[in-house]
Amino acid sequence: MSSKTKQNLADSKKMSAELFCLTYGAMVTEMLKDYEDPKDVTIQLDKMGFNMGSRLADDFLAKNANVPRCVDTRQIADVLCRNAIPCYLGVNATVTNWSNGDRDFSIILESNPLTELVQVPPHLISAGLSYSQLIAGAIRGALEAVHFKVFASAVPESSNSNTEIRIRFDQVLKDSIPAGEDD
Amino acid sequence: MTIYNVYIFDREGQCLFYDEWFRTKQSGLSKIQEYKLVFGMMLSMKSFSERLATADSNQTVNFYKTSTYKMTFLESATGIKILINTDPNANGIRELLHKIYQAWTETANSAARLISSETEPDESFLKSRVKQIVTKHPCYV
Repeated sequence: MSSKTKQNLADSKKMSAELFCLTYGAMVTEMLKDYEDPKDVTIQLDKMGFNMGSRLADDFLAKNANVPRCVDTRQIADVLCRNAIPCYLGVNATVTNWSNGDRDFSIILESNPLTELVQVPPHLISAGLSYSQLIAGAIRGALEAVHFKVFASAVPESSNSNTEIRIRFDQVLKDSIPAGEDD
Repeated sequence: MTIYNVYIFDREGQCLFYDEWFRTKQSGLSKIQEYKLVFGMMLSMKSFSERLATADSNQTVNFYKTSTYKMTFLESATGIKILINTDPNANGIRELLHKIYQAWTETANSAARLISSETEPDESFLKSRVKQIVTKHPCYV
């Protein structure tokens, strides 16, 4: 499976990770100017990530036909770490910190491509900026597209370069049947 | 063997794409009505078969078959539904459906479309992609 995802990565259109990282940084800086409150920036990053994630879900499923339908959070975490994150971020990830009867877990990214060349000022972090919330939002969006409602947040960067994304499973969403088809 | 026609529906039952190749007889309904009925039938079959299921597990409806055609279903985890009508003895249709799904995601999520913020994917481009995939399939013609 892992060799397959690597192949996928190789033949997809690539851009330089550094350029991407700098562009992202410039965008967040610009947003900090526009929104003033760092908390609002975090919310916007989450929204952007959500929109990306809900589209990536289809892309992921189309590329990985043999991923099974997940039935519990352990499986969700496994697919995220083994297939989805290496495929789209190009880094390895591990799951830890299970709690609340398997409803909460953390994903630790081995390295965070978004923060490679970035130092987020501590006063912005304490003011509520979560720099990598985009990734958390993308995970939330992708899981919502496959009917799992979760809450995801990027835990503020600690001294080591790992980024922790905390995920709390909420509920399984049901498909609604279109109304008014009786005519 | 023949491949007759294909429908792609979104989660809400909106028909996103339709094309046909060797469909010599039409249903006599308006296209919109036909889409609604096809989608409704699929939903009903799904819920009915779930009710009758002998074990509590995640099951899927794969196809139904008459003496003259077979309708194969594919539902992605995101709720995109693709239905295709073929000759009853056609095989390898699941793989074909998956290829169509791939083509659809690539077209629907293409960067150009996201930037121009159009709601409809590029119809003619998708049409040619799907046609290419279908005509390549051994069961076509």
